[in-house]
Amino acid sequence: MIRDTTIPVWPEHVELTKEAIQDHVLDIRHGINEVTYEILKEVDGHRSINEICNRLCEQHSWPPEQVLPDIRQLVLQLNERYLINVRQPPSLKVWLQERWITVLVFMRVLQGTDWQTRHRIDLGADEGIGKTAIWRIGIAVLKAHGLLGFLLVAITSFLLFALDINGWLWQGTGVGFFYLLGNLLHEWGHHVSYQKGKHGRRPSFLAVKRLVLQIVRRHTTPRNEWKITLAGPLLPFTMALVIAVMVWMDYWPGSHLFGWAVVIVLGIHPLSLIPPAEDGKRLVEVIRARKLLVKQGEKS
Amino acid sequence: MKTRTKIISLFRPFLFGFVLFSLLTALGYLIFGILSDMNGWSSFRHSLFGGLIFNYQVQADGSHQMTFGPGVLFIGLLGGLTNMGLAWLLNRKESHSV
Repeated sequence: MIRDTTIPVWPEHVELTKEAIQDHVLDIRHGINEVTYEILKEVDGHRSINEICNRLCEQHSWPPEQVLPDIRQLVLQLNERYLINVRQPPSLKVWLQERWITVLVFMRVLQGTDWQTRHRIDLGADEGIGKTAIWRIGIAVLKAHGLLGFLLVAITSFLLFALDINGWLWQGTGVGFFYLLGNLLHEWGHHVSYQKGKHGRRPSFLAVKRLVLQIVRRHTTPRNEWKITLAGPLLPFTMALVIAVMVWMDYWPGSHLFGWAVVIVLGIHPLSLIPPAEDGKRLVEVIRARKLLVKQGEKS
Repeated sequence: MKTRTKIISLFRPFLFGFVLFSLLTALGYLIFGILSDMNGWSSFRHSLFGGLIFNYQVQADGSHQMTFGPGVLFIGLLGGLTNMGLAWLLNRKESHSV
């Protein structure tokens, strides 16, 4: 949530000029006017919205009570488009408020963009497997899904313990670990598939919106879009199949219950291909684009 | 279109609340049942509006039986309605303050 004490921060590959904000990842130029430039040039990653307002009002003799809501609204709009990141000042009260808002947003009690604080994390364009991307996606997955992973560990460990299964703690922890790993592999799969596409290596960024993670990149051809969209859930799903075979053939190091729990947390990723999940929406767009191309081909 | 958007904006919290509360109730009672077995607690039965939520029965031979009933869905329904009510209240307040 954007507050007066929120600190706006420019993300990587976003550049402010006098006429525009340039998004170098998506190659989009957002035109701005003079007043917006005056406001945004005060953003240095350390000043809060309140401090920016006070500085500008002193410099230009603007009324703070009118300027402050305008700056807040501007930061909100830029944050919605992943053009500006925000960070909160270190405060237990704010941290608890944000966690509570996350729960209410997840439950769809709080709706609307005002509650959806977004974060843009650049993934670079590393050669090979993309170490920078893996590291940054991993941290983001841990922050977004760490608590859920911990709950999974607690519940699974308890159930295994209750069923008198040896090694219940490490197996319970293993389920949580594979849950987080599955999410990491999902996003990394999209990223690496995009990087290895025919259109060459381009930077992309990870969009984080409360509990949701998504790779944001430029659109490619419908054929490549298929591959990139499917690559995400395919990696954890393939892992689930391999583990399922291992469990079935008794090669799995641990109880069968542990093995099947891991198969489930990895195997559910293809569900993201069903709308309204993001991958599902992307797939529907690709199918429509292909139908359009076929129609255009027939006409010509 | 506006009415449709309004309906969707209330249906989503209802659905989320229903699913989450039902799952949490079922999981909670499953854990409760396991704890009962581990600690040797006696049989018990919980209901809501006459609908069974959970029944834990200790058999004569020392084994136990756990049964879930439609009360789980009642709780889910209550949870969904509460969630929907909260969403209506909080989003209405926000639109008034804007």
